[in-house]
Amino acid sequence: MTVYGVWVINKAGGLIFQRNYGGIKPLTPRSGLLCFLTSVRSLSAHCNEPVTTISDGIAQLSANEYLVMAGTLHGVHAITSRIAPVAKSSGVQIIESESFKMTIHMTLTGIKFVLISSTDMSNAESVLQKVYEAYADAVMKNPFYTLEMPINATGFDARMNAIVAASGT
Amino acid sequence: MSQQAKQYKAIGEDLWKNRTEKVNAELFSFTYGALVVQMIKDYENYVEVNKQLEKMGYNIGTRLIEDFLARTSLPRCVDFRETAEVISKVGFKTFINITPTISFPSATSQQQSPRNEVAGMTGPTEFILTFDENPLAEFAELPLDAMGSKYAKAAEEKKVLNWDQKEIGGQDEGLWFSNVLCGVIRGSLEMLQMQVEATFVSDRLRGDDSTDIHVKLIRIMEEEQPINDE
Amino acid sequence: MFGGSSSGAAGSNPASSSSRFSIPAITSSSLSTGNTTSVPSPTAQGSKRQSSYLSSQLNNLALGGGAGAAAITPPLTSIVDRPVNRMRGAEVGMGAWAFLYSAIVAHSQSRVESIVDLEKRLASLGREAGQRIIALQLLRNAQTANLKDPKREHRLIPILQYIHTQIYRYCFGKAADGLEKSVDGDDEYMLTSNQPPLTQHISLPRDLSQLSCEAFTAGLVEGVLDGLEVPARVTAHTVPTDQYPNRTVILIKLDQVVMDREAGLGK
Repeated sequence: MTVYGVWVINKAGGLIFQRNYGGIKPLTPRSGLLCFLTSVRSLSAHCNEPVTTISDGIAQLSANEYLVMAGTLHGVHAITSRIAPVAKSSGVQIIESESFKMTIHMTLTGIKFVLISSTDMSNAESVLQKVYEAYADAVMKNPFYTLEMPINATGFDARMNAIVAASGT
Repeated sequence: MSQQAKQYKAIGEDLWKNRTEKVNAELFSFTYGALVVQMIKDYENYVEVNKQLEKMGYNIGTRLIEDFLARTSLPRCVDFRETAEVISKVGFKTFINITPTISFPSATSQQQSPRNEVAGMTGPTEFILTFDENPLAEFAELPLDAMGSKYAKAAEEKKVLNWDQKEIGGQDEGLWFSNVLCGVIRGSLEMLQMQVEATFVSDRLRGDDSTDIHVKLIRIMEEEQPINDE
Repeated sequence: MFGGSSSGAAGSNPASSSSRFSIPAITSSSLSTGNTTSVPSPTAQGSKRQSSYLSSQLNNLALGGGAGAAAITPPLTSIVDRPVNRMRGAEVGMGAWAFLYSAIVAHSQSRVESIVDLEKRLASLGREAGQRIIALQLLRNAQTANLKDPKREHRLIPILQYIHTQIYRYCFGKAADGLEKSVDGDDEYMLTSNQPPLTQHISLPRDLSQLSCEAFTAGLVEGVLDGLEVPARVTAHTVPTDQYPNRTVILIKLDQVVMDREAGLGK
């Protein structure tokens, strides 16, 4: 039960928050979905950048790579809600690979909270719920935050650290 | 009360009782009153103050909706009638501990005014919130010149200008003291793809018999957002 | 609506001849009060409410007579007809406060050039609130004492302790975490809150790190002190510790008048 990272994607598909959290499992480079998502990079100029790995967790990519991936995930999400056999589908909620999974919670307002975790993360939904509450408090109630813009609030980081620390137990 | 209304009443009361951090309502009321007074001094025009309060409320609404959704986890409403119930019994309840009464004017006044048609909507597309209590205005009393056209002329004749004897503009329209609430409703519904008009139609502070906000659905906004360009 | 007045101040003041038009100007909490509010004594406020209750009935009778004054009849739901204690103990969601205050900060920020001016604006709102809060508290204290011998602190230390405990509890749900005398001077006192609730969700951007949004609380304390006739200059300062990143000190610098009076009153 390990949280590797959290993303927040705004309505337009822009990545407004991205943090990696130290995991315990070394990441198999380019596995599963990350491979699919990063393959988009080959379209960009950054394809030859080396992928570095922080000591014992998720691959640390460049800010631009994260932006591209978030945009791609946003598009994939839109596709999955369009091809669903029912109207107004929530779209993709879990993407899983051998070594990790991504859990996606989209709010009614169109913001996506993404949790990247180990595959055995059984409480991913409730962790994302706590992330949403922290966002409502530490981001929405902060007068110095502008909607849709990157989140840079010490209060939100503090809340996130506490949520991640408590999530594995 | 319908089954649906009862259900939301129970949800709102439970959230208020068990899951809401609270603060002194009088401090809230005094602070809002001080804000309105400060704005009147800044703008010296009631119409402009109404506008600023609405704008401030809109900004609040676009943010407050996330707090509301995060804490309630309620699903999308199926129609505007349900939206009205949720606003009154869960929204107003959990934020300021009041439950305004809902009524649907289009059902009775259909003959007088053309029915508000919104594409893809069944059921009512407008409602009125009637406030028996209003924590924002608990300690407020309007000077005559802020009460709108009914009193503006009398105020002029009587020289009731108790604002450092300064002339305040926009007396015909007067002050909608709690106009921030209209903005909050408009802002939060817009984040849920509902474009609405929310306006005060009467206010006891202005000598009216009741305090009412009229909320009218204009259109459902396109749900699909364009995919972000890199 | 008049039935509600029964919870008003106890006592037996005869109706005065005050007209209802004049009432907004002397009700401390009314909107129409100017920027230089003088806080009325609790007794005076109580009696105004009573007299207006009677005079409003007279007004209604006059209306019934079909007097031509109908056009200028003020609304019947005058503030003085409302029970002053209806809201006593009432609460709203902290979220409502947080969003309102956040919007106030954002709006204020758009109207000022400097951090100092922003703090001044926030403090002035707090001051207005504080003046009204103390007026209401004094009125209620008087009511509790049944208008006989209402207790009111007049010495400095009990006043500061009253703010530390009662006023903080009223406003923020709990007493301040500390009240100390400053080492810098006899005229300086500090109220400390480890986790000020009103601004708990605010994170400052780097370029505004000198700002304290608790300036509102400083203004509030200044307003309360003012209502107790203790003029002072009150400011808010963030003094973080590892455990409490938002720990705030409200610094009270007392006016010389207060120091002289204290010296005159003796030990």
